[in-house]
Parts: sequence; structure tokens; C-alpha cells
Amino acid sequence: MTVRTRLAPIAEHVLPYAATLTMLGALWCVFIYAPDERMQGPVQRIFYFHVNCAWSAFLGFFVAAGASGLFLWRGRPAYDHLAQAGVQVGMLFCTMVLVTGPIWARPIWGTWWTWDPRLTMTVILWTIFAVYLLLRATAHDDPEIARYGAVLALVGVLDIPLIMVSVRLWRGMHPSVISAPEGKGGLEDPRMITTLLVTLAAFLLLVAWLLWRRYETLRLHDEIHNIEDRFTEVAA
Amino acid sequence: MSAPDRLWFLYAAYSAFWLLLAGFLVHLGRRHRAVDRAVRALEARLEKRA
Repeated sequence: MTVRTRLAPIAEHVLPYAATLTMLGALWCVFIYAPDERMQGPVQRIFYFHVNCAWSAFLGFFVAAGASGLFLWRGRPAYDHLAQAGVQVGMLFCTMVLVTGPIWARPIWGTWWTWDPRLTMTVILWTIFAVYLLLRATAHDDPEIARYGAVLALVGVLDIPLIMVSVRLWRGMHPSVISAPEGKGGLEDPRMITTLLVTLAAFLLLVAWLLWRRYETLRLHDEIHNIEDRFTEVAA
Repeated sequence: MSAPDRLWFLYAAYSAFWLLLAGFLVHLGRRHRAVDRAVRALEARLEKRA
């Protein structure tokens, strides 16, 4: 029994319901349970989804990089499918970060966008993986392109540690997520921390489910292609 | 900026999130249907051959 067949029943029958239920709980926490932040007011509630979108994007890209490394090492198509699924899910959440961030920034900073180090590095991350998707879309079955894509995913993921430390390293405008450097700001109320954790659980389940769905579609697509090829060979 | 104006930004951010997620789910659904069609086409070819 492979890992995939062991995971399949959970991924198919448990994950979507668990993700939906925890997401409903997360929305209740965000809009009802969590208190307003003193300085920002209700706009701060964007933070709970914005931050988790960023973490989900990082998770997707790390999965893609890990699977890409394994694909380069072992050469099994399953790793390439997982890498592609990771990039697609990562790109979805990275796009959400780049959309929800400016909507938060407009009332708080007075501008939709600024070339702050963290924001700039996030745009670079999005661009690297957009190139990956373009590369794979233009030459889906080419094994050489799959290897180039794997290398690109491994290089692209190096941007994530830079995004994480950019606030402290280059003293940008972007706030620290959990606590400000001087120990003030961030999540002051325990209900805010609970809300962040519930939202994190919802996002982890959502990411796992989306990764599974995309991986399965890619795997089945590849299997059908292989069967068609064999069928054509036999017919010839 | 007044509180109702700020609420507009809150709803805009969450609407954007759900719209993007819905778009991705539609994309996933289309890919899934394409795989379904390919399976059916393959089954038809096999039946024809049998």
C-alpha cells in the first residue's frame, strides 16, 4: 500500500469537511470573537487572513521546492506533479497576499503600495513562480523543461527566508506579524492569538485539500497520457 | 478616515479572498472535468477495440 492510497480516504472524505468547518470557525473568530485593535480598528481583521495567506503561500512553495529536489534526485513523475501542485497553490495564496495587503495598507499607510523591502521581495517571489507556471504551461510534457522548472522552484524558495527577515534586516514599513521589535503592538489580546491559531488551522486544512486535488488531477492526466501512448503503440 | 469607510476595506479584502478562491476552485473543477472526459474517451476506445 503506497502513501497515496493510505492518504486518499482521508484526503477525499475528511479534508474538505474539516477545512469547511474550521474555516467557518475562523470567520466567526475573525468577525465576532476577536476584539478591535486599538489603533487600526476593524481593518486589522484583514491581518488574520492576510498573514495566513502568506504562510500558506510559503508552505505551497516549500512543498514545491522539496518535491522538485526529490524529482531532480529520483526523477519520479509523482514528485514533479507534487511540485506543480505546490506552485499552483502557492501562487493562489501569494496572489491573495498581494491583493489583501494593499487593501489593508490604503487606510493604514494612506497608500495602496510602497516599495517596502518585504513587499518588494514578495513581488519577486510571485514573479519567479509565475515564470515557473509559464514555463510549465508552454512545455507541459517536456522532461527537460520539468528539470528547469525544478531548479527554478529551488532557487525561488530562497526568497522566502529573505521575506521573513526583511522587516528586521532592512527596517521596512511592514509591521512584524506576531510582536513588534520593541515588544509592543502585534497581537496584544489573547483572543487575537486564538483567532490567528484557528485561522491557521483552517488554512492548513485548505492548503492540504487543494494540494491533494491538484496533485490527483495531474497524476490522473499523466496516467491517461501513458495509457493512450501504450494504446497507440499496440495499435501501430 | 471614518469607521464605515474602514469597514469597506475590510469587506473588500475578504471579498477578494473568496473571489480568488472561487476562481481557483472553478479552475480545478475544469481540469477535473477534462480528466473525466479523457477517461471516458479512453474507455470508448477500449470498448471499440474489444
